[in-house]
This record gives sequence, C-alpha cells and structure tokens, in this order.
Amino acid sequence: MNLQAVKVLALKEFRDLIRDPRIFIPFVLSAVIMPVIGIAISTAMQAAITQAVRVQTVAVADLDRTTLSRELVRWLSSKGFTVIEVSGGTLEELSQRAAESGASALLVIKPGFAEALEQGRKPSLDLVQILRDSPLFSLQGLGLADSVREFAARKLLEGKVSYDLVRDPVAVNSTIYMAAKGLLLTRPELLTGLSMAAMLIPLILLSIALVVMQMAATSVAVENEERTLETLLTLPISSYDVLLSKLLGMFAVSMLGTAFQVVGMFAYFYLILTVSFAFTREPGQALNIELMAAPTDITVIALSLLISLFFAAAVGMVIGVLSKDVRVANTLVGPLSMLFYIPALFILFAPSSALGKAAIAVLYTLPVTQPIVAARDMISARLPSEMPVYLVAALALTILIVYAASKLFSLETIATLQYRISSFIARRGALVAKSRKT
Amino acid sequence: MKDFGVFRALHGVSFEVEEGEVFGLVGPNGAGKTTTFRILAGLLPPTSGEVRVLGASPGDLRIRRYVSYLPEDAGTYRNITGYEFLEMIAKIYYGKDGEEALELGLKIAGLGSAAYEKMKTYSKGMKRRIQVARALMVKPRVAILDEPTSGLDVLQAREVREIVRRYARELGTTVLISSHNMGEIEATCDTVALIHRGRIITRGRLAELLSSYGARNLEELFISLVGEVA
Repeated sequence: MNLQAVKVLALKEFRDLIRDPRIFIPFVLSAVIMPVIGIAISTAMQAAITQAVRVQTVAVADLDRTTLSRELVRWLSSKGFTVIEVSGGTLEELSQRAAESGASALLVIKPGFAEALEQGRKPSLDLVQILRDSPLFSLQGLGLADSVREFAARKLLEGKVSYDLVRDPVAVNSTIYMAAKGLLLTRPELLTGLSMAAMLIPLILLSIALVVMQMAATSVAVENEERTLETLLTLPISSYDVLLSKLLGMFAVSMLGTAFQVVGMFAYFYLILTVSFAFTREPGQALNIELMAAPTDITVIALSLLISLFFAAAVGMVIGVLSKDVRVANTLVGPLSMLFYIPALFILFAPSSALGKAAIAVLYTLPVTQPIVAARDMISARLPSEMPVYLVAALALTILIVYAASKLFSLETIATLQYRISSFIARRGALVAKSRKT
Repeated sequence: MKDFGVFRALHGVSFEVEEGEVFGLVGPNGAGKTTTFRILAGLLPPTSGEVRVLGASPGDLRIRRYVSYLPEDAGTYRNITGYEFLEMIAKIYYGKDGEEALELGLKIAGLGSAAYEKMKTYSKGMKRRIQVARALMVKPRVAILDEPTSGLDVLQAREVREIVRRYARELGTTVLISSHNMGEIEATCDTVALIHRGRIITRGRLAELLSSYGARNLEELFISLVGEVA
C-alpha cells in the first residue's frame, strides 16, 4: 500500500466533499426534522392526555327515569363529569343534541336499567363517543364506561362484599428478574423505557447508514460521470489504494455529518421520553442506562457502529463503481438500502429464542446487523464473550468488500457491468411504460 | 484486436512509436482512436495481440510512473483548486519532493492567480490546460493524449497545441496524440497513422506519406485512402 498516495487522495476527497454545502443537506435536514417530529408527536400526545384527564362534558339521556338511574347521574357528577341531560328522539337525534351541547360522549340509560340491577342481571346502556376531529389520539368517552361499570358493580354487591376486594382480590407484586444481568426490576414498566433505548441505536444507524451509503455511491458515480476516474486509474497507485483513499476521505466527511444527526436524534428521543405518561421514573431505579450497560459495552457498541457505517460506505462505493452516472447510483441505492432495513426490522421484532446459535453468529458477524443485535442484547441480556472476534470479523468483511470492489475497479469490468445495469434499468423502464399504456 | 461483446472495435491495429517522436493517430469519430489509447494506457486489455509500452505491459505499476494519459473530455474536481489538484499529483509521484513538479505544472497550466480558485469556476479551456499540465508536469517518458483539444475554440485549441509541442520537446517526451482534426495532427506530429473502422489504413512519416500518395494534406490523403478501402 502506498500510504503517502492514500493520504493525499483521501485529503483530495475530503476537500472536494466538505466544500460542497449540498453534501450536508441530508444530514442537517434529518437533524432538524427529528426534533420537529418529536415536538409534533409529543404535542399531540400531551393534548390527548390533557383532554383525557380534564373534566369531560357528557350528555345523559335518562330513559329509565327511576331512582337508581337518577342516582347514576349524580354518581357521574360526583366523579368529575359535567353532565348535560338530553331527552326524546332516536339515538341519532340524541347524539346530534349531545354534539350541539358540546359533550364528548352520550350515555343512554335504557328503560329497565334499575329493574335489571335489582334482579341481579346485567343492565344494558348505550355509549356514543362524539368524534369531532382525527380519530388518532382521540380519547373521548375514556373513563365514562368504567365509571358506569363501577356504579353498577357497587349496586350489585351492596351489602354482600366490598367492591374494592372484588376488583382486586389478590395483591400481586409483579417484578421482572433479568437473568443475564442478575437484575431485579421492581417496576416492570421500566422495560418500556429500556426497550425504547434499545431501539434508539438501530434507528440512528439506519438513518445515518443510508445517508453515508448515498454519499459514497454519489462520490464514486461522479468520478465516472466526470471522467476523472480514467485519470485516477492511470496514476502510479493500485486501484485498491484509490478506493481506500476515497473511502477514508468520504468517511471522515460523513462522520462530521453524523454528529449533526446524532444530536437531532437525541433531541427527538428527549422530547418523546419527557412526555409525562411515557414511563414512570422511580428514584434509585429509574431509566439508568449505566445500570443496564457497562461503559465497556457502550464502547463496543460505538466501535461496532463505526464499522457498520464504514461498511455502508463500502457498499455505497460498490454501487458507485457500478453506476455510470449519479442517476443510476441513486436508482440502485434505494433497493440496496433494504440490506439495512430488513435485518434491522427482523432483529427488532424477532425474539432471540427463535434464532439458532448459527443465525446469532451470522447476525453478530455481519456489519449491517452487528450493532443492532448487540444493542438489543446489551439492554436485555449480555454481550457474548466472542464479541471481540465478531468485531474483527465485521471489519475483515468490510475490508474484503473494498478489496472486491478494487478488483471490479478496472475500466473493462466497470464498462461491462455498467452497460448491463443501464440496459436492465432501461428494459425495466420500458416495461413499466408499456404496462401503464395497456 | 479488441471486442466489446459481439462488437469488434479494433480489427488489426499495429504500429510502433520511436522514443522522442510526436505521433498522431487520426481518424473520424468512432474509428477506434480512444479504444487504442485506452489499451496503451492499460485501462483496457486487448482481446488478442500484444501491446508493449516501454518494454512492459500497459498499466503495469512499474511503468505507470513514466506514462501519462489524458482522457478525452476528462473533467476536474469541482471543489478543489487547480493548485491543490496539481499539488496532489506532485505528491503522488514524488512524495515530499514534489515542489519542482508542482512549479512546472503551474507554469504549464499558466493560470496565474486563477490556479487558487475552485476548478468549478474554470472555463473549458482552463480545465483542459490544467489536465495537460497534470499529464506533462511529471516529465513522463510517454504521454498519451486523447483528443487534447476536443471541444475547445480555435484560440484555446491553439494554446493547448503549443503547450504540448513546446513541453514535449523540452522534456524529451514521446507523445501520442489522437484527433479527428487532420489539420491539428499535421501541425503537431512527426509521424502519423490513419485509422478507419478499427483498422490502421496507413502509417509513416507525415511528409513521406503525403508525397508517396501525391496528397496536399492529410485530409486529401485520408479521403483518397478511405475511398480505396471502401
């Protein structure tokens, strides 16, 4: 390897990329978009919660007109509901009146309500939720049905047994013991927070890897398009050195861009996680990441992430080599990005027990999947003792990709492959156009 | 010979160029000039036949230092300056001792203070000058220049031609130039080869060829020969 030449070419690549402000657009955009999404989601969630917990106005149509039905209306008022009484007409007409009165729900106490309760039968009521906007986060009627059920249960049990005892007859203290970590979680809901933390790494990786891959593919495709590649290939350096230097220069730029994205991603999760009901914090055993992951584990994950991004850049470079121009490179990056998406989704949703030892070894070796599976295991289990071997294997695989790409990196091979890929894309385009016509 | 799939680009191309000569390969578009030069630069392997440059196979890392190739329509890097580009080439060839080569490159390019501006601001002529400077500043023993004046206006083309002629003589470089511009080859080269449909139809010293065929210039010679071939 000609280190001096690699250094000089890598510097050229770095300068050429970093001086192009367009290169940072995807990084900055995703860095800005993530907190904006975070604000949008958390605001919507907050609004839904506020609406759910505030005093609700409910319309009640008492068609039973008995002592018990009147008692139910008073019971609802005592539970914090603002009750507006409506009467007469069909269910549709009652709903319309309820909506006009500003109620969020309509409760129809049908005739026979009191009689059923007195005879120990299940009474029947109608509950109509009044929808005024998006059904997403709509929580109208929340708690009204529960209040009615409680009222009925209390009446049925009156003089026999305590309602509270029936509702929760056994005191169960639910805890989770994380065997791999020897950790007792006295608040199981903490796992929700931990799972979100485990998902953070794959999400960051996916979004950054795709940008890095795109950047690498474009960078090499531009060399093809601008015909500067021919010059590079006749310089007194090997094609492996040419590719490696491009990769290093480009990777240095993408690391700077990545910093923007990581900040944006953390801002997003901060906004989401600070919404009050997301999970409960408990002093001493709140979402303490240090409790779940040792500093050495975090270092390993960081190393794994770096290798994974380097691999994404190498894959992007192969795409660039095969593309005669930027347009072809962009066409190829989309489908090949599935290389990252599919394993990430698989790991996020497939339980470890469903995977055999061989499959786990493969997931740990592939740079695409390694940080995702490692992050998940770091949170919920333990990193395998063979982790250093897996790190070396992933790095070796990445170098192998660069080496294989350098073998492809002859004008003869590139010209042949580019011709085939362009023909394939053109044939596909013609087929699509034909099918649209028919 | 050179085949691309079922298409035969070169049928039988054979010529020798002596050390210090300025050799011109002339022919119309699509005749096989670029393919021939790409083979000589080691970018493409021949399908059959033997090619030797400075006694070695083209593209061999041992001779790459002594062979410069200027591709037709070679672009430049948008966001680096002409100075940085030439400095990069000097460092690749000579490491820390590249100062002299860099100075020569700047002199050949003759861009003055524009050398310190990003190359995306350069005109086509300036880009070509920087590429010619890149090819000659490393004092190659062989310079392969594919259509060095392609796409340039009359004045820019003349400037580039003069740079090539002057520095080839000063540096003692063997130069191979391809062009579809017969006048350009006549004005620049000592020996020529005429290529048509992937075949060399004649070659030799320019003056001798013209007198032996009784042609006034290369264009007449080419038309009379192509007429015979056809």
